[in-house]
Amino acid sequence: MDRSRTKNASEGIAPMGITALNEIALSDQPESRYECPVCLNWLRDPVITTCGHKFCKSCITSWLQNSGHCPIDNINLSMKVDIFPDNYTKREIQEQRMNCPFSAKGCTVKVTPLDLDAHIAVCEYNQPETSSQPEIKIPCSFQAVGCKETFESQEEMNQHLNNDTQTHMSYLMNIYSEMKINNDMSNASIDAKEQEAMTLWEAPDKDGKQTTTAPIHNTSALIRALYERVVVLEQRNREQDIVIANISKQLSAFAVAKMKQNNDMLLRYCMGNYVWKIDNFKARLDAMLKDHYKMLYSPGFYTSPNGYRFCVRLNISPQNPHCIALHVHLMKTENDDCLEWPFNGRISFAMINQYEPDLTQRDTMMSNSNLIAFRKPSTEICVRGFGYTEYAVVSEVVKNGFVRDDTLVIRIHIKCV
Amino acid sequence: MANIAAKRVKREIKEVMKSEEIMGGAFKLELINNSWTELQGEITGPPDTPYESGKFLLEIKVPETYPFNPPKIRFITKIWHPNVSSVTGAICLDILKDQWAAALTLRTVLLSIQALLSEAEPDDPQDAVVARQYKEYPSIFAMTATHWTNVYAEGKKAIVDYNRRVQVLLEMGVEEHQARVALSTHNWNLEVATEELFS
Repeated sequence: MDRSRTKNASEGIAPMGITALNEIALSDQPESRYECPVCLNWLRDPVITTCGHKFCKSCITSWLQNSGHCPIDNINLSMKVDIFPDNYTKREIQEQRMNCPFSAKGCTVKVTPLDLDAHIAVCEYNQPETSSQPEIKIPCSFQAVGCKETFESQEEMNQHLNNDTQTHMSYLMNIYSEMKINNDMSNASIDAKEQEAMTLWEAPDKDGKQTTTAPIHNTSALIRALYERVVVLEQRNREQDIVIANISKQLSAFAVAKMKQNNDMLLRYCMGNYVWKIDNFKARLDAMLKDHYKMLYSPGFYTSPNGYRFCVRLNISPQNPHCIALHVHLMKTENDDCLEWPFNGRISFAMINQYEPDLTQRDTMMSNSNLIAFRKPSTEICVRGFGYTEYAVVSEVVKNGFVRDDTLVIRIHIKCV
Repeated sequence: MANIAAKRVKREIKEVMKSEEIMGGAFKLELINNSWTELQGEITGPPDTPYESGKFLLEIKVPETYPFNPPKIRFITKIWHPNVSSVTGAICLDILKDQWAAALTLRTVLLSIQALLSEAEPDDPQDAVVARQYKEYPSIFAMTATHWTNVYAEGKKAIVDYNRRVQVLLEMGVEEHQARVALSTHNWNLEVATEELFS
């Protein structure tokens, strides 16, 4: 055991305490005959016991409140009968004169030991070191990393910078390692967050049990977690695809319904004024030429929103396969009972010449109330039609500009009279 | 902290720092915080005792009512001694309890504790198990205390046989200190210690 080690140890553990000890100015330790063994200070209002020990009056009073013995030799003591004022010692102490501990700084005060602490507290020379030295000191440029040196001049500092490179390096090293540790710690916390996030993607247990979210320690576990995540996402993808397919089906069904509704509206509100566009005409015509029983029917349209409903039939004339026949047929409606029967009105056909509108073929006929075709229909479409069995010659229809873009356009106008 | 207590601790530390005990390395006294209420002491095991060359750390807490009440002191370093708890380090010493006197100082208390290491008081024990061993098997007690000093207090003298027995329990998966306590308690009888640990 050596001294330097002891000293280093105490400085190492409590440098603050030791410094504080040095900074706090205490009056000098009194000689033992003037020292109170309780407060270890100069005897203040000294008293002497029957066992021959001296104490400050207040110290022995406090002590004997809880104890009946002398603090030194444990002999029984009573405050009332065993304690006497020691005025001899009191006088001796008061005759002592002590220099202020700041006499080196210029304080010339001399006081009794008892007054010394009080004087120290107010002594004008008892000031912190720095304020007693007015000149501004330059802190070392390595102050930020812990160098506490200060200098009177720039030259001094330069010299210090040259001489104490090693010290500064070690300061920098300390700071660097601290930063590194902090960095590592924050990295660690990021890792922890990452794992936390990863566990959120943990594939749910098939039984619905909560899978234990063990922290992911290595790459293989990470890969496993990622793989599970991929599986979950793929599954979800498939589910989404099915949902999308269902929705698009619904959507197209809805679009069809909407179109149908639109058409229905057109047909109901056309006021007997219907334009029948027969697209893909050539193919349809060929099919009809091959099979004379094939016929084209237009959708049913209304003469007024709640009026008569007609459709148009186009087919190859049974009598003359070179001609097409064109008829109107009455159709059942929900309002048939409200209408007047037989139908009475004017029916006009106009086969539009799409190249030269002036050459449009127009025909008008009046209904004939004697015909079954104008009576209230008993089937969905009245079996009897009314029109022309030889409306136009097939070859002329094709040749003379009635078909354009493979579409034949016939305008039908039915007006009640 | 009461003014008188702080002042006294300051004076005591000042006194201790230049005392011959510090110079001679018999003990150390260090401040733990700046409020003069917590200190750390270190005493060196007295020569010709099982504690020889050991360094024993002490936790010292100074109450506000100091010096009218004793400081609270316990061993931080584990020690096998009849008047010190082998578990908590609590010290059974009259001057730290009812025999405290205001004239006693941290220095005299540390010296008293050091003296206690030289001369145990088995009739006023803190640790009954240790005290019984001290009385019934003095040689085993001496070796156990030496062993603890070696293991926990940097004591230079090792008890090879005891180290070996602790090692046996370690290999059985017992925690080291637990193994040492079990063996010490049962006078280093390996079978009895094992039985106690695994029952």
